[in-house]
Amino acid sequence: MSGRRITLAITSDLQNVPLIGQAIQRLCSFVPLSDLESHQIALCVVEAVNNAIVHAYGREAEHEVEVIFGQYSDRLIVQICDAGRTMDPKCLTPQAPSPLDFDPGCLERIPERGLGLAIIRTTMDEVTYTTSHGKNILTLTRFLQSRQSREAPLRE
Amino acid sequence: MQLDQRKAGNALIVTPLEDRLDARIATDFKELMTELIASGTTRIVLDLSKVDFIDSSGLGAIVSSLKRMGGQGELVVCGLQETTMTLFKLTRMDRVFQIFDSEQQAVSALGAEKG
Repeated sequence: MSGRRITLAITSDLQNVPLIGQAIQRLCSFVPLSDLESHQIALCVVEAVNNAIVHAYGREAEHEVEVIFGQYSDRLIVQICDAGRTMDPKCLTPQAPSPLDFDPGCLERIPERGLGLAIIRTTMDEVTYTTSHGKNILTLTRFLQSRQSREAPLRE
Repeated sequence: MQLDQRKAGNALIVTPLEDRLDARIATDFKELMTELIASGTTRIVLDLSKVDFIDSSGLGAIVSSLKRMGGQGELVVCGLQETTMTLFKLTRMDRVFQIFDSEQQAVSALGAEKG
């Protein structure tokens, strides 16, 4: 699959995350996406990088989080890589309960945590997680054509 | 983080003076809101007009503030930008919070609820 790729990297400090978010949003501006869609993809990447820093690295600084942004003819692929603790892959199975399924009338049950993955799963078309040789890779895919045709069907 | 506060009618308008309400500052925001609520503030309008990016940590801190009020007060939101409104809808928090376009509408609604 031919395309264009760029790799970004930050040290595992939450103060660095806006740099990644702003860079991804800017990169998305070169892809046929609206400003709002670009913002949402940047949000997903921020959530994934936050998770890497907080959960994989336990908020320890001096580790590296790598973000690989790839633009292809029909899709956008962003990979978030860390070498910290592995996430439970069950979190991404379709059977995993969504924190977004809550009763808004029940104050205690309104979720304060765990919304990041739910945002990612709702926004992206495909989300996969692999671990190999000590490296965790969360891969976020957004199909470009399918979104366009969904929002503006081609006339016959 | 910087939080502007001022009274308007029966309500306290709280305005984060930040463009991002995210994981970096969510804990600070939550602590500041907890202090306000602990001091007896029961009607809060959270003006998010200066914020163009909220992540799940920032949103969680807002939810935490609502829960801290324990149903004894009101926390409403105003000034959402398109990007942040989308997050409220995506996470279904638009069903939890009363959301107003303007500060005046939010203050009026809280005043009306008092009566």
